[in-house]
Amino acid sequence: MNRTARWRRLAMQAILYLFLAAVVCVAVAPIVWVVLSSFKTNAEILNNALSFPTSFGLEGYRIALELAPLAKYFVNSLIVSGLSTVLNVLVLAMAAYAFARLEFRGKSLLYIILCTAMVIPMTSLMHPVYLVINRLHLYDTKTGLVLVYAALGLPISLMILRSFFLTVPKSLEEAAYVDGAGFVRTFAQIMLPVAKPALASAGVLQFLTAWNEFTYALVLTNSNNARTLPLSLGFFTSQFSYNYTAMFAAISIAVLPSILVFAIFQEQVVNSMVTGAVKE
Amino acid sequence: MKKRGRWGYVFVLPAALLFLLVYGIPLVTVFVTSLFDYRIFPDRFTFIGLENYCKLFFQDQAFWQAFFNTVVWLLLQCTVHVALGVLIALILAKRPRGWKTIRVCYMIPNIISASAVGMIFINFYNPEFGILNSLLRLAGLEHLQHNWLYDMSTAFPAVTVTWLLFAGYTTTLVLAEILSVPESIFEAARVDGATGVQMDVRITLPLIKNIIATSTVMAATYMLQMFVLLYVTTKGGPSGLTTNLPLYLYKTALLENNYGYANTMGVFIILIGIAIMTAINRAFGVGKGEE
Amino acid sequence: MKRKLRCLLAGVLTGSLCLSGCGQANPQAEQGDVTVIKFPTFQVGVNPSAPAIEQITQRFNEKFEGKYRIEIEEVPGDANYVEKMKVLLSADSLPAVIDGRGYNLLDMALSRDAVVDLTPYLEADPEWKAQFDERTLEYNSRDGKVYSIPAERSVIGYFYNKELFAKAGITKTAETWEELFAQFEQLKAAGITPLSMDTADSAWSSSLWLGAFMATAGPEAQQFMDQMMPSDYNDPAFVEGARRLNEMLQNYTTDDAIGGKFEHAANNFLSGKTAIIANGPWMTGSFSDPTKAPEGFADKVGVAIYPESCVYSAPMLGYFVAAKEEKQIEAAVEMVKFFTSDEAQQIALEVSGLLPASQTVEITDDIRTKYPLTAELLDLAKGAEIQVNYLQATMYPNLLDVMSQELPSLVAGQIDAAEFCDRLTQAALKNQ
Repeated sequence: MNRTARWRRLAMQAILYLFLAAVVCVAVAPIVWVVLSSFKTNAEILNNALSFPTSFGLEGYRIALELAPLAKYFVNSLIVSGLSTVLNVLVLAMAAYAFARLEFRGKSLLYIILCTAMVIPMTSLMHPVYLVINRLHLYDTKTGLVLVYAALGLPISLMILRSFFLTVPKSLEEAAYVDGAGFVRTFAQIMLPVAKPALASAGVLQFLTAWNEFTYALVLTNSNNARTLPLSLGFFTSQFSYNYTAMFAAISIAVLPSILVFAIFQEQVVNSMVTGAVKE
Repeated sequence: MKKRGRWGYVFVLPAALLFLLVYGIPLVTVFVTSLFDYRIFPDRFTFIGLENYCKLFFQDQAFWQAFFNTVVWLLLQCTVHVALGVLIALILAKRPRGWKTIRVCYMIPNIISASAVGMIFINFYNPEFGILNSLLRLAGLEHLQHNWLYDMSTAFPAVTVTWLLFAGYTTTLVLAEILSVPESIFEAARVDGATGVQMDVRITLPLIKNIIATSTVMAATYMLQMFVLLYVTTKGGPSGLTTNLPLYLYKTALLENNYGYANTMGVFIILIGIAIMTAINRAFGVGKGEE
Repeated sequence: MKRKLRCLLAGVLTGSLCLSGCGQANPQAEQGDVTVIKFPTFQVGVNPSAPAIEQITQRFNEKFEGKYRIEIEEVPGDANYVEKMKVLLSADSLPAVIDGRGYNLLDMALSRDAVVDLTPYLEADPEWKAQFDERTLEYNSRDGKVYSIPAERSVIGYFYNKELFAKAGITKTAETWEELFAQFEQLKAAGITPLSMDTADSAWSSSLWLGAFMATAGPEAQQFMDQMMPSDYNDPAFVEGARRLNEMLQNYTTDDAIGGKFEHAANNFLSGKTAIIANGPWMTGSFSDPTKAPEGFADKVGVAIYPESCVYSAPMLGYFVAAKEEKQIEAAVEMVKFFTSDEAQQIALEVSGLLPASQTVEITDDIRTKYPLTAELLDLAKGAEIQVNYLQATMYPNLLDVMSQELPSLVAGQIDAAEFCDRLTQAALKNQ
């Protein structure tokens, strides 16, 4: 009896670990394959897809960078994601603080309206958003993308930040007011520093959204000046079709930085995702 | 305190402007232009009432196909995807060896950009040098080889796989929720003699009902917005077999330049979005949450 | 305090606008006295014409230094280019100069009144006008006004791998479709995949075969090929063409043809995996490009026209001007003039083997030795009995995607040839 129970437990364990191994494999194997293939030659790729590279040359990467202005797209992505994060967090910290602390007419109505942004599938607004951006003469500019991206994260950031400000004890500000500080200064010098964790949560989510966004980048940009990294792969598939090594290298270039950043900041990223979801 | 109220408007103003530009004005535009015959080649902008809607519902087979696909994908995502995410979270919550690493690995497909995932899968499925056909050849199963993404019989499942199995986000959320449950609750159950699986079903699942609901809503929203992976891989083909509503909208707007009609679809997508969210929240009995 | 607030608000509202405002709203910008012409083009990167365009642009910039300058904007992939031009057109913000070749952008732009009439400029420069024959100018005119000027003429046949042909025991190119299909069988029997084909993007290479079937199906069908933006593809001849195209896709091409891009098809041909590919002479540059083809590949390639003495040979639409401000128009016209000049066409011919639209550009012996295939094709084309325009030059642009979508279904047997044609027709009707 005892023995069978132990065997059963062992078997269960084995199945469990096999399952987990399969999970990891499904998630990671294709990426590993792509990265490995980026070191193989064209002929090696075509002859045997499953073989290991015979050497680790960077030829594919050199060609990839030559064929497509990946570095430029990378910088564009960085600028657009960075600025949209700053804009988003700043604007929504202000709004969230007002919603959490102040009383003014139409407050709840305004809040509800802003939160409806949550339920609108953004793909439905492709064309009108394009019209607006175009009317503002921001078509094919990074500025246009920054504005739209900042707005994409509007509802989540607003909710995260508002519920954070609600938890801050009022006594903090009261003390500042007694010292004669004005409203804006209190917000900028007392509340913002206190809200750092929430700002970070909102910021990380916003940055990820902007970094990976594709649809609006496709619709709102046209030249290398404003195109972002996710677009590069789609646009340059023809460029790379003569040289599979370069194509695999290009995918690796697009994928590895995200994985690296995630590996380093995984706790923060996971925390903000959880905060974001709970606040919904 | 009261006199500071006016600051409220000042502080909300930038957010309101942002909302207006990207949501407010476009929303009004979508609804209004859906009532127009609005094209640019030839230049046309005439009021036609509900004609676009009639055409959409009663004459457009491609629309119904896209709608059907959207619904199937949405259901799959809300069930299979979420269930897989929860299952893995439940396993990882028992802290098996390397659980943190596994969580990180499983998150990776959700972290990298969807267009990269699409490109990876294009190569994964490549009929000549793709990993899948190579493995089949290696296993001596040549007859099972396919041109996965473009074969009528495999295109739909092949493209579905590019997102269905990657529930890292759900796993992470659910896992965080389970880990935040006080240990004492589990202790009590253990004393009552509950085994692992029983505990998961009787105790853990009810405790994490809300986060599952949230994950389901997110899965549904995600599918309703699905565009990139389709655009990068099959472009909705063959014959619209893998077209969903956003992709059909995109094509109607950008390839056919029929903006009024595209925006009619936009209105429809918004309405389904609201309906689905209400339905899921009802199903899980999520009340008015925190607020 | 107020100041701080103002800073904060100003920062929020305009900060991002200024900081990231590297992109200009206007596609054209002026710097000092130099008028800058931003020129989006798909002839970049691996596109075979890229080196020619680069050189011509450079010459232009040297010649007009201090006055005009062209800045190339890369839009790789011609389908992307067409899509982008349509977007810009819908916003009435087209670039100053548009390359209207290959796809029907001119008529779309005209429907938005966005095109500058080039007739007066052409009349003012008789030498320029004399470069082009009547048919070419007529093709580029609407209502008696010349709107675009081409630098290139399209002559398209197909290329074949002589080595593989010899291996299969084929000694001469096919003169009838029956012969061609017999050759496919011969190649197949020798273990060689006969054809490179594609269905992604716009199914370019496949559509060339489809057009050739149509063009050789009688005088009426031939007329169809030269009709601009036809909306009825339910023609029995067209259906028959689709049926035979399907036969080719099913039996005589590579596994990755379905869903594959043209570049994949080209890669298969260049690596000696397939024996035949339909494409124009601009491809000859790739045959001797060491990054694309193995050493000595160029010597193995032969060129042919389609069976039944058919070739694609037609004037093409050319560059047109869509600038609005006077200075931009002036610069743009100057650019079009230069890009279509004999000098530029000579460069394009020498560097990339592009066939000149001008009748005064000489096909020198130098070029004959450098581009033997191009020269041979020209000779073959001269003797061809059927000379038509190719399908994609005349079809509504939204049909490109439909072709690419429906071909896999046709091959899978999900729809038959008639249904395929009907779907093209339905999609064409969406434009009305």
